[in-house]
Parts: sequence; C-alpha cells; structure tokens
Amino acid sequence: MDAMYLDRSAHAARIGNKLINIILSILMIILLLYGGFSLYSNYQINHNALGGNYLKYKPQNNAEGLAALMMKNKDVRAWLTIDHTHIDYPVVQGHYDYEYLNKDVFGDYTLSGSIFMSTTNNPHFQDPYTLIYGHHMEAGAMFGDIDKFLDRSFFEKNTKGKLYTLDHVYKITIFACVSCDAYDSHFYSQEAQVTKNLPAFEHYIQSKSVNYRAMNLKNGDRIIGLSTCADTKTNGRYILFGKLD
Amino acid sequence: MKKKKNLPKKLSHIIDTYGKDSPEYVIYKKRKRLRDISDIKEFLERLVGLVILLFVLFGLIFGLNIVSNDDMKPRLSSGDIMLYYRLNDRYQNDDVIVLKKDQTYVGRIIAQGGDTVDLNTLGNLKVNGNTIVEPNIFTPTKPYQNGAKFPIKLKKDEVFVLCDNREGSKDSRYYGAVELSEVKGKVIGVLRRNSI
Repeated sequence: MDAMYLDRSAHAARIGNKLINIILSILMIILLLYGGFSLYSNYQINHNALGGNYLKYKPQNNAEGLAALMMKNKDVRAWLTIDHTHIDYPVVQGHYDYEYLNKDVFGDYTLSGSIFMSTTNNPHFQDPYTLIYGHHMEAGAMFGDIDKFLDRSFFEKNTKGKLYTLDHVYKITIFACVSCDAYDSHFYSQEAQVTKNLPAFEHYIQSKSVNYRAMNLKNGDRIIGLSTCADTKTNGRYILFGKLD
Repeated sequence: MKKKKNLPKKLSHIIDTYGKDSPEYVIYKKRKRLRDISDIKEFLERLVGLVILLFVLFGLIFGLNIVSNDDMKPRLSSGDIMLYYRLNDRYQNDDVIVLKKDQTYVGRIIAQGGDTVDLNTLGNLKVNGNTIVEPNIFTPTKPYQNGAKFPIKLKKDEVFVLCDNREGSKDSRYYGAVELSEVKGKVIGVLRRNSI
C-alpha cells in the first residue's frame, strides 16, 4: 500500500517537474521578449534624440549642410552647438507653439521632438531675446545636458557655443543658468522677447539664477535662452542663457 | 499477465530471471523507492522555488492589476491588464500610478509635494496659480460636492492624482491627496483585449 502510494506520488512529482519546466520556460521567454523590446524601444528613442540622423547636415566651414537641410524643411532656422555637451542640433521654428514637440526635423513623429524656437521670435535671431526649447531627456539628449550647468565647476569651465545661420556664425557666451517656473512671464512671453531694457532683464536673470557671471548687457545686444523641463518639481524649468556675438 | 505487461521492462526481466524472492528484486525495489523519494523531494523544492520567484517578481518588484472601470478613458479601458513597477523611489507628474486607499485606484499624478491645486466650478485646473493645459483631456475638471475642498496644499510626501476621464471618476477630488506610502507603483505596461 505504502509502496503504491509512493509510486503514484513519484509519478505525479515527475509530471509536476515537467510543468514547472514549462512554466519557467514561458516566464523566461516573456521576460526576455519584454526586456528586449524595452531595450530596443529605449535605444530607438535615444538614438533619434541624440541626433545621429542630422549630423551629416552639420555646418563645418560653410553652411552647405544647413542649406541642404533647409531645402528639406523650410522651418529650419539654424544649427546650435554648445561645447562639451550633447547639444548639437538643427533649430526649427514651427507655425504654432509645440508643433515640433513630437516631430523631428524631417517632419516625422518622434517622442524626443526637435530643438525649436518660439513662434513669435524673429526667424533671423534679430530679437533682443530668442527663446529656444528642447526636451529634457536622459543621456544628455536634446537639452538634457543643460543640467550640467547647474554644477558650479562645469559652469565656470564651459562658456562657449556656436549658432550657425545661413549667412552668419554667432559666438555664444554662456552667462547664466536659471531655475524658474513655466509660467514666469519674465522669461516666457513675447514682451520678454522684444524687451527694450536688457540690463534690467539681466538683473532679473541674476535673481533667478543657479549659476551666473556678469555680462553687463547693453540695449542692442542679443541673447538666447535654451529652455528645458526640470523634472524635480511641478512646472519647473531650467533656462541656459547665452549672449550672441 | 496483464500486470506484468504494465511493469517496466527491466523489472519484468528481473522477475523472470531471478524470481520475486531474489536479492536482485529486493535491491531493485529499494532503489526505485529511493529514486521516487528523491523525485518527490526535487519537485517540492522546485515548487517552493517557483512560488518564491513568482512572489518576488510580481509581489515585490512588479505587480499586475486589472483596470476595473473606465475612469482612465481613453488611455486605459476597463479590463486592461496593467503591469506596474513597485520600486520607484520618486514619481514625476504625468506618471500613471496604482494606489491603495480603501480600495485600489488608478490615477495620473498632477501635482506633488509643496504644490497647491485649485479647481473651480467651470472645470479649470490650476496648479500653483497657473491654469494647466491638458491637450489629451477631453472633459472639464470640476470639483465634487461632497469631495475634497479646494484649494489643496500638498504636504511633502503627498501627490495629487486625477483620472483622465474627469467626469465622475474617483480620484483625488473624491478621496483627497495620496500619501506616497499609499502608492503601490508606476504603470509601465498595458495589455488590452477589449475596446481596442
């Protein structure tokens, strides 16, 4: 009796073992597929965001590449580079706010969007203050690297960038990194973009800045603000300010 | 005859050659017994291992939950299976979370500790005094008569959640702010079978 009971139990145990094997295999396959898909989709997002598709259009000694990109999309305005960051992208200007929030420079959907300037700004960077937006992404993609300028020593060491347009190459001198609210109209409004009092604006920038060095702006100077999200707080934004020369 | 046929080949061979009283037969029986016991032990050990693995995966790291209503329409529908991740130490606005109050709810984080949330009867949602633009929300956000009183100032370890379907859904307007200890996890995947 005992032997028969044991025999049956052992038989059941062997079936059970096979079942466990099957369950483990299925679980492993699902986890591998899910994990693999997640890695692939993250890679896609980051690859697009890091701008590998654009680099062949980057202006070198002349603006040929930029002109070619403008032929493809007439919303392209410039090429923006900030030294020692991943910021190295074409700048577009949409017809309405946020047109390029989830659209790449070729007009296709992409989660990371494009680097775009305010619709209300002068397209040739003639306003006193030109506002440029970019997503805050991981791995320093788009404007993710603006975080670096929150660090005092990085801010001290890195001050340069370039803005290429078709007919001019502007030198960018970075002078402030600001932490503010998305609804701060001192930074985000058309009145701010055409301000008649740049010294007062610099004063306000200083008051909101995390890092700052005096620029002594005069009326007639031009500055750009590179704005991105700060995920640490609701509606938080960081803006990196640079002077155009 | 019939019983003999069912026995393994080796055992019938032993009985035929040595008979049922032979030492070979006894040894065979003993070895079979030991093998049976070890198989059973192995199965039980692996079963316990599997249960522990499933518990760690879906009880400690991830969680599964079924959407029970249409409060999160159109992003989530009733019957969707949500996979959520439990080990986040901080959340961001716009994250969809599973939370446990008197029952389990799902909602989207609108504001976090330190923020002030205000609603008016027109259905405007304000955080820190600024109207929030929500292009993917299609119904006005009105307060509930017997629900939370506005404005609400969130404490350090609180979040304010709303459902995507703002009409009649049970969210922070109904049960108030959510403490971080009540948050079970962030939804990271959805499997949908109905209303695709």
